[in-house]
Amino acid sequence: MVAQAAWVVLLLLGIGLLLQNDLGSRLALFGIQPDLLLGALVLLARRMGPLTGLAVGFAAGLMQDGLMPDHVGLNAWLLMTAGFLCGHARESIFWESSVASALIVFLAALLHNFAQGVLASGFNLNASLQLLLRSGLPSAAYTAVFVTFVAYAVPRVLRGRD
Amino acid sequence: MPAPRTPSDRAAFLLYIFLSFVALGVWLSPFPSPRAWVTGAASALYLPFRAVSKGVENLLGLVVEREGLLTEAAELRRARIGIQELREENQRLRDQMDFARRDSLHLVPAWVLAKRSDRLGSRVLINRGQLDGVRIGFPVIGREGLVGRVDALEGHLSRVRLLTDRASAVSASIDRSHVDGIVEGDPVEGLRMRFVSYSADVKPGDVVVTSGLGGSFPPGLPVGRVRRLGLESGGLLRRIEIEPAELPERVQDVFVLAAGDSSRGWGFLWARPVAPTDSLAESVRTPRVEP
Repeated sequence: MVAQAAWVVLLLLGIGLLLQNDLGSRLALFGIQPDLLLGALVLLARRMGPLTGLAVGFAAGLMQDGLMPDHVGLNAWLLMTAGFLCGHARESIFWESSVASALIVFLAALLHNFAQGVLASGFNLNASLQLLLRSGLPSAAYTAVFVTFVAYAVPRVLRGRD
Repeated sequence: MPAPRTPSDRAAFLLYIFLSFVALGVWLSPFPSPRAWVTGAASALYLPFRAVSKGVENLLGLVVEREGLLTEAAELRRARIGIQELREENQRLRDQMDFARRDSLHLVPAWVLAKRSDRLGSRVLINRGQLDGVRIGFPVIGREGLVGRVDALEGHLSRVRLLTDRASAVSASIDRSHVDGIVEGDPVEGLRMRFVSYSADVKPGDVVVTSGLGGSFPPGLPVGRVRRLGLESGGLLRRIEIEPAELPERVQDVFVLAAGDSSRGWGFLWARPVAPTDSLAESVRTPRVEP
């Protein structure tokens, strides 16, 4: 059972990375890409809980770090933390609301971008804030809108068609 | 950080702590080997997905490319048919061009070697002959208009019967009113235009040009200008005196209107077959009786 789940997670991880690497660049607007992996992780953690969130976050982050080896381990820790926190927050936030989901995804992406900027720059807050305003904020907004749209609007449209 | 409330939460918390140490340890490790291991493992795990993705991408690209190639092939087939039609049309046009080139006016410059103008006729001898591409029947023009036509030739010599020769007859027309007639040579009056109706629109000063109807000359060559109008005997036809465009006594430098393809003579319109008796030597030895 656990092995089967591990394979599924591994498969999903590969697909997520593919989507992030291939589809993310094609979805870029004015050079801003949505963080599909983070958005999917947040939604997964909402549904599966903190344990799955942190495990998937760790694996996905580690793989992403391995493919883009600037700060190997940092992204794994950040995604794992995001998955863990979002998994815990599922009991205290009304997740069924698409607006709340979009807000959570936005905040998670924003914090992720900020923390990544701060840690990767060696705690240079000015540079991190500038980077956050220039690309982190638009990217977080884009991620929230896109992931929420895919997670809520598309299934509703498909259900309505049926 | 939320406090663990259930065993599951506790396990998740402990796992989080452990994995945090691992992740931050890899990130902050002074040794490159952990990062290299992560990179190698991630690449190995990701490579199959990327290979499948690349294969699908290539497959989709092939499908799109195939559609494009099919469209392109159809366009090429259509273009090939068009090219074939253009090739045939080109060949037809080339044939027509060749035809036109053979019939185009090719000027052979010549100068008058000798003149003879008496009651027997008006002729000049020019320094271009059969070897220069000149044929019997070729028109000869001067700077002002039609001079005559070649009626005998040798290697580099031709005899030109002038318009004013009494045996000369040229189909001509009034350039202004397109009234047709026959211009004949007259040793006294120069040229006369005959067979023109009394009611025809002809005025003194009108330019007379070749009409091309007789087939001996191309149309549009200036013949002369109407000098005087009169009546033929009977009163039904006009008697029109014409001042030649090229005065016989002033003819010096002329041009033979030769066909581009001299082997074919003057083309189908103006040339007539070269008869052995038309040679200059023959005509000199055997005086011909003019009609």
